[in-house]
Amino acid sequence: MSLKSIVSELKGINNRISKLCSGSKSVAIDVTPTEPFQQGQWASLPPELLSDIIRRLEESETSWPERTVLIFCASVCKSWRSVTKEIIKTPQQRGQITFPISLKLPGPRVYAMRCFIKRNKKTSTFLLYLDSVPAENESSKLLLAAKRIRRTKFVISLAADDFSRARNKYVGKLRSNFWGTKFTVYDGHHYPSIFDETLSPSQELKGKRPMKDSFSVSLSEPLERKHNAPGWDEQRLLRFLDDKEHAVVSSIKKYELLAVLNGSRNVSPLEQENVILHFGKTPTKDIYIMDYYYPLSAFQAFAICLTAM
Amino acid sequence: MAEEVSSQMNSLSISETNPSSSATISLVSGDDIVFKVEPTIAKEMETVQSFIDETDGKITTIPLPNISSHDLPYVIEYCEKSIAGKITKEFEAEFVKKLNNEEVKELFLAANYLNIKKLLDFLSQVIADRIANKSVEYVRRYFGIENDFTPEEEAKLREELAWTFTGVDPDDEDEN
Repeated sequence: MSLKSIVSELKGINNRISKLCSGSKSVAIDVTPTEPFQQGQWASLPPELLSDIIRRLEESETSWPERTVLIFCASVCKSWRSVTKEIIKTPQQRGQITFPISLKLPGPRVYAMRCFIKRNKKTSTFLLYLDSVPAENESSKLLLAAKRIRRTKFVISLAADDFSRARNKYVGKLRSNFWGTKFTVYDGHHYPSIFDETLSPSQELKGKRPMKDSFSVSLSEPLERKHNAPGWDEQRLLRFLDDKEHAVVSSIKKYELLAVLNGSRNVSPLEQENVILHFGKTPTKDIYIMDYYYPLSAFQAFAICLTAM
Repeated sequence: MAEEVSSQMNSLSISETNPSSSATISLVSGDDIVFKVEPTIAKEMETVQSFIDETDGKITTIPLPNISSHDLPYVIEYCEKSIAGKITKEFEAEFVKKLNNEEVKELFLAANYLNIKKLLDFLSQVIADRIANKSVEYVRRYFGIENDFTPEEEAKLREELAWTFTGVDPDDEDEN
């Protein structure tokens, strides 16, 4: 029996299978096998296969710089970008910073986003890195950079070497009163901004520090400072202390920001009090810890910490 | 059912080279090369098996126009190992070592087309591993994809990429 006759016999079945393999042309059984190996098969990779590949990367590349691959995937072409954007979880969902937009999205609720700040006194710059402690080879991921313009004003940028408002590295600014007891964080909106994709409406963050070691800020959900609560990550501080035998925990300058959800919403008393920011000096010179939680974003938390610098 | 036809009565008369033999399934590659496989191998290929089931086992020659005679032996090899329960990390590492990027890609599409879940999973991971930490250009070349962003979108992407490199040395272009 020749192949051709079998093929013609099977036409009806082929059609059914073709339907089963719906999607790209290249996967359907074609009864006339002309040019079965056409070019561009890869470009028409069925979206479910592409999703599967990107999901694997999302799950395996959880640290920087390996995570850049996801940004690469989102830069390949439009369809890749939309598939990648669908797969990447927000910092609130996964505790991962991926795109620059993640810097303006709230952190996770149940565990901290752990960062550190490196101060450079000479240049009046402050660099925010994603890492619980500075990596030995200085490979920690730089998230944001700030420069003190005047005593009461900071500019926040995506790059440590560009604080120009006219450029699209600009993220926002922070102003405080002379004593640093009241401050306002301004969210920068510039075009073309890499933040304009899925960002909620511009949010101004106002806050005051009635006492030297405490904050209160107002977000869309009202928050107020209650009291200093336990929950400071002693373990992590100890990692800093290992280097400095004589350092004493109590000497570590720390701030805690507590969130209290006001109003008559259905929240249990346990949920009403949440630490949303830890900020502390470490025994290492010019290195500060910054841990933030929902509803703060990295940008907001960084701005608040700057007011205490 | 294929097994029922091959009763003792006629088993002697069935020649191994007969394409309609129920003992083997003939897979015909896009370039018209016939590969004879055991029915158990066909079972691993869901698309092929459903083809056989549709015809109650009467049809045992299956044209696979999208799969070349170069790729089909790899697919068959993987399925044989799978049936034998011998898919080990070592086997997979050896298996993938033989394949260049183009072959991985073709096998991936073949596995999807034939609906072989294990092979599909495995190759998806291989591709993810191969593009991890590679540049955008590398990924575009690897997949043969054209950049379809507008200049405005491109400008935005450049900013995004510039930010990913802050604090990181840009990694070297891959040797491929």
